[in-house]
Amino acid sequence: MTLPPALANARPAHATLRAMGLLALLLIVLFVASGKVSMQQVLDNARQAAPLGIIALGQALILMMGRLDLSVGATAGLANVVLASAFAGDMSNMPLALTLTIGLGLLVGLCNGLLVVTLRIPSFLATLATSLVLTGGLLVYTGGSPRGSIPAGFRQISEGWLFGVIPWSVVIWAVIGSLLMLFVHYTLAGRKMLFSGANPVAARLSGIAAGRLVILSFIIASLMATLGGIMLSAITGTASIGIANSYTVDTIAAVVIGGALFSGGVFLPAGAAAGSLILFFLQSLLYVLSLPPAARFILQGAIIIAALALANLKKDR
Amino acid sequence: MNAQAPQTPLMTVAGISKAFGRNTVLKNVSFSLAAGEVLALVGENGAGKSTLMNILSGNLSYDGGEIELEAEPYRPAGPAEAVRRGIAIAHQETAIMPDLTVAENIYFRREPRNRFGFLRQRRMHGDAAALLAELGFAIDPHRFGRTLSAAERQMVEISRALVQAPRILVLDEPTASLSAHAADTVLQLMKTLKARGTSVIFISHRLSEVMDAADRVVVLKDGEMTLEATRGTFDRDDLIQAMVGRKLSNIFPTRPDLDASDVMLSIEKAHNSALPPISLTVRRGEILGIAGLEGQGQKPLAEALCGARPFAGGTVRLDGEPVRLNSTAAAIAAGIASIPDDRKHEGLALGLSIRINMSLFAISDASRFGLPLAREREFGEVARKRFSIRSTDLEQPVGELSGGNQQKVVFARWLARRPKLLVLHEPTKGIDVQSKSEIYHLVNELTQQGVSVILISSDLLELIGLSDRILTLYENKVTGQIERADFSEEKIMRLSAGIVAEQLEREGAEHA
Amino acid sequence: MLEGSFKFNVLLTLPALVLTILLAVVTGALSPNFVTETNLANLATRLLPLGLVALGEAMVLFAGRIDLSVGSIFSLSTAIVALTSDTLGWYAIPVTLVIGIACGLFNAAGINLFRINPLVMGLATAAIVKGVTLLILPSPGGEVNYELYDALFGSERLLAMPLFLTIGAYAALVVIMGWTRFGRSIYAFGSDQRAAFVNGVSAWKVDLAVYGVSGFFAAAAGIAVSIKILSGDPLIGEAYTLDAVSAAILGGVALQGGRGSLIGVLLATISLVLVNNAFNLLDLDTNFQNIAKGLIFVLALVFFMRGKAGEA
Repeated sequence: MTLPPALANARPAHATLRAMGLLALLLIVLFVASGKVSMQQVLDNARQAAPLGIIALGQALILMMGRLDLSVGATAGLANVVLASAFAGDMSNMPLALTLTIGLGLLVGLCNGLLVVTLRIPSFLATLATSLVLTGGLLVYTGGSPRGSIPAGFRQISEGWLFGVIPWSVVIWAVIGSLLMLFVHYTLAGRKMLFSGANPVAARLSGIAAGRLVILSFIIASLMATLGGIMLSAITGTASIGIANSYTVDTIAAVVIGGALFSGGVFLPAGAAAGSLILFFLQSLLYVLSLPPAARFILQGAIIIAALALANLKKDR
Repeated sequence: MNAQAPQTPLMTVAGISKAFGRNTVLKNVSFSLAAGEVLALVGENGAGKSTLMNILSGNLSYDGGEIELEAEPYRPAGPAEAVRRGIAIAHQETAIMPDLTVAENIYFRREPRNRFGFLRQRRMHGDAAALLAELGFAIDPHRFGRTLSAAERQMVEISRALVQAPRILVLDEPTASLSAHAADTVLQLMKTLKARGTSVIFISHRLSEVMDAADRVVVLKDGEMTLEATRGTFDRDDLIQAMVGRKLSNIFPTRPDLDASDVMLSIEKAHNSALPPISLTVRRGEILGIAGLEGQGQKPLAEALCGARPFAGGTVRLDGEPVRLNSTAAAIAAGIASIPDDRKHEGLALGLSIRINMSLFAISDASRFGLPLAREREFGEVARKRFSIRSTDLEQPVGELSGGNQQKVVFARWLARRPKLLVLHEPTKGIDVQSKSEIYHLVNELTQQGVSVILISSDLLELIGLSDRILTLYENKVTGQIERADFSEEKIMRLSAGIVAEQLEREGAEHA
Repeated sequence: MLEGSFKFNVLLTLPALVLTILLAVVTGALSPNFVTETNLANLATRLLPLGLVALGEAMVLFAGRIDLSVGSIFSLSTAIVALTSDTLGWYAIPVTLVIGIACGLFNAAGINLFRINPLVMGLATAAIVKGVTLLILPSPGGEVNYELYDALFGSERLLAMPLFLTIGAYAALVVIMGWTRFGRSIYAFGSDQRAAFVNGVSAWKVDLAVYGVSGFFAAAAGIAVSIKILSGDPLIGEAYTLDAVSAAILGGVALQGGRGSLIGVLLATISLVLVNNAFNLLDLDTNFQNIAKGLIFVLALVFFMRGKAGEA
C-alpha cells in the first residue's frame, strides 16, 4: 500500500515505534507493580517530565546535525535563575522576565553556534566551555544564593490543567514537538538541515549554507533549553543553583533511547518524547522502589550504553 | 631468465571465491606463482583485484578454494600473519601515518632498538636515507607523512613493504600516481627484486607496463578469471578483450561530430592558491576530457568549478556571460552541476532515502518555504524510471544501493537543475560495467541537448571512448591537448607524465 | 636524542612553556608571597592531582580518543580510600588503582565491543561511576589513615613526595611515548586509525592501554586528594575532567590525535595551577575562576585548532 506523500513523510521510524513499545511495557509494569496507576497519574508524571522532554527535543535536533550540546543543563539553570530574579514574585514583571530569559537563551545558542562554526571548535568542547562559563557566571551573579521566585499565576503553565483533562505543560510540550517536526519534515529549510546533518560535505557541495544551519540548530537547542528551564521554574517556583545540571546527560539518554544516532541525519521527535517519558518513569520507579537517588546516575549511563549497543549491533547485521 | 621453471611453485591459488552477503566478488580464481616471477593482475575497477589482494595480505578471509604458500595451506588471520609468512603489500590507498616521519613510517613496528628496547631514532633515520637512496627515491626521511605528495606516499609505501624482506611483494597500482621517471624506477626495482628471487604480484591499469614487465598475467572480470597467460602468449588486444569482455563500441555511445558551434565555457588565466593560472574552453555540447596522473590538479580544478574552492582571479564565462563562482551556491545558480569523485563522502547522505537524496534541487526550485511533497514523489518516480535505478522503492536508504545505482541518484539530483555545464569527476569509479554504459549513454544524450561536459577521469578507456578532446594535466598545469582523431593511450600517458608536447614531437621526428 | 616526530612534538610544547614562564613572572611580580618555599610546596601539592589526571587524559588524546570519565573515577577513588583506608591501611591504594584501571577498561570495552562513540561512552561511564560513588558515599566524609598523610604530604618543602611523584610519572611516560614501539603505535593510531590498522596496530590493544592508563592516573589523583583532605568527596572530581582536557590541549596535544608531548602537558598543568594560585594570592573572587577557566579553554582551542577541520 502506498501512503499519500504527506503521510509517508510523517511515517514513524522503527526506532520510534520501539521506544513507544518500551514505554507501553513500562507503564504496564508500573500498573502491575503498584496496582493503582490511573490515567490521571500518568499524565501528572508527563507533566513533570515536560521540562526534560522539551530540552530533549533541542538535543535531538543537535544530534540530527551530527553535533552534541553539553550546555543545555547549564542553559536551563540560567533560565531558572534569571526568570526567578526578574519575576521577583510579581506577575506584572512577566513581559520583562520572559524577554530577558529567552533573549539570554538565544544569545547562549548563538555563542555555541559561532564557537562551533566560525571558530571550528568541536561542539562538545565548545558547549562544555560555555556551560562552565555559564555556571561560573551564575555563581558570580548570585553569590551562591539566588533570589526571587515565580508568581503563582505563572506557575499555572505547569500546575494548571486544560479543561481539567490534560496538563498545560503537556500541551506546550506536544505543540513544540509538533512544530519542530513540521519544521524538519515539511519545510525546505528543515529538509536542508536534515541533509546537512546527514552529510555536511555533500550539503555544502549542493549549495546549502550548512554552517548557518548549524548555528540555527544551536540557537533552537538553547531556546528549547531555556523553555525547559522556564517550565522547570514553574514547577519548583524558586531559583536554585545547579537544579538542571543532570538534564545534559538525561537529554542525551532520552534521545538515544528514542533512536537518535550520533552520526547525524536522524530526527525523531516522537522517539525523543517517548525516551524522555521512559527515563522519567524509570526514575520514579527507582523512587517507588525506594532505591537511593544515586541509582538514577547508574541508570542514565546504563541506558545510554544499552541503547547505543543495541543500535550498533543491529546495524552490523 | 624466463626459462627457469621451478618444480613446485612458491604459491598456488586454487579455485578461491569470496562473497560479501549475496554479492559474489570472486569466483573460482586459480593461478600459480613461481619464485622470482613477476605476475600482473589486470582488470577494470570492481573486477575483484583489490579483493584478491586483500585476501593475500590477510585483510580478508576467503570462502572457498585453497591457497598454498610453499606447499603449506595459507589462510592468514590478519596482516601480521601475512607478513610473517613472507607476503608484503604496498597498497594503492597508502597507509601512511601523517604525524610520523618518512623514516618512522618505513620502519613502523620494525624500528631498530638498543639492547634496552628503546628506539634508535637517529640510526633509523640514517637507515631510511640509505634505503631510499638505494631504491632511487628522492625523499628526505625527516619529512612528515602529511607533507608527502601522492607519488611520494606511494614510494614510502613501497619502501616499507621492502623493509619486511618479503618472499612475495604485492604492489597495488604502484605507478598510478607516479611520473614517467618514477614509474620507470619502480619497474626497474621489480626487475632487481626478480633477479634476487623475490616474486612480485603487481596490479596495473597500464597495459604497456604489463606487456613490458610481466612474466605471467591474470585478468579478472566481474570476479571471474578470464585469462591466465605467460609472457609471449598474449598481446594487448587479448588483455583488453579479457578485461572488458565485450567490444568497447557496445559500452560507449558513438559520439557525433561536433559542428563548430559556440563556446559554452571559457576560462582565462583563472587561478587560486591550489591552482596556477589555467585557461581552457569547452564548446556547446562538447565533452572535454581531463587526463592526468593522480593528484595533478584534477581535484582543485573540480573544486574551483563547483565553487567549493573558488578561483581567486582570472575570468570565467559561461554561455557568453561572465560568472563569478564564489560559492557552491553561485556555481549552481550559474548553471554548473558537479558530480564529485567521492560519492559516499561528498555526494550522498547514505542513511537518508533515495527520495530525499534525489529531490534536493527539484524541491528547492519548486518552492520557497514548504515542501512540495506530492511533486517530490512524482519527481522521484519519474527519475527512478528514467535513470533505471534499481531499488525496492523511493524510501530505501541510498546506502543500501549498489555503487552504480548510487551514482545514478547523484545524477538525478543534479540533472533536475537542467545545468549548462556538467563537471564529472571520476563518474564511474567502482561501478559495474552495465551502469557505466548507462551513464555514458546518458551523458552523450545530454550533450545532444546542448549540455557541455568536463570529464575528469583516470580511466583512459573512458576518456578515449567518450571525450571529443582531451587535455592533460601535470603538476597542476595543462601540458597538452589531443584531438579525437589523435587519441591514443600512449600519447595521453606521455603527456600526463610531464613530457610536454614539443618534446613529444621532437622524439617522434627522431624516430621517423 | 631528538629526532623525527619526537623532536616536532617537543617543539609543540613551546607555547605552554612561554605561558608558564609568563604566569610565574607576573604572579611573582604582583605577589611577594609567590616565591616562598611554603607557596612553592603548596603549588607542588596542587600540581600532583591535576598533573596525574592530565597525564592520563593526554595518553587517551594521543590515540585520538577522549576520556570524559576521569573526573568521576577521581571522585570514586577518594570515596574508596576514605572508606577502606582504616581497615586496609596501605593496601587501600593498590585496590583503588585496580578499580580505576577497571573503569578505564570498561570504556575501552564499550568503544570496541559495541562501537559506541568514545565521547558518549565517557559520558555514560562517568554517570555510572558517579552513581556508584554516591551509593557508597552519599556526602563528603569517611576517614583516611593519617599515616598516609604523613608519608605523602608530611614534608612542607618543595622537594618532597608530591613533586617527586609528579615528575616520576611524567618521566616514565615521556620515555615510553618517545622511545618505545608501544608509544609509537599509540601516536600512529591517533594519527590515522586506518593506516595504523593496516600496519598491524590493533584498536582493542591501544584502547585498553590508553584507557587503562587514564583510569589508573585518575584513580591515583583521587587517592592523593583524599589523603590530602583526609576524607572522601563524591563530587570533588567533576571539575577535573575539563581541566585535564584543557591542560592537554594547552600543552599542544592535538584533539584529533597523533601529536603532542607530555612535556607540554606538564607545563600546561603548571600554568593552570599558577592561575589558580594567582587567584588565591591576589585575593580575587574565586567564583571568577570558572569563567576564567572556560575562557582559557576556549582560547587554547582557538589557538591550537585554528584552520583545522572542525568536527570529527
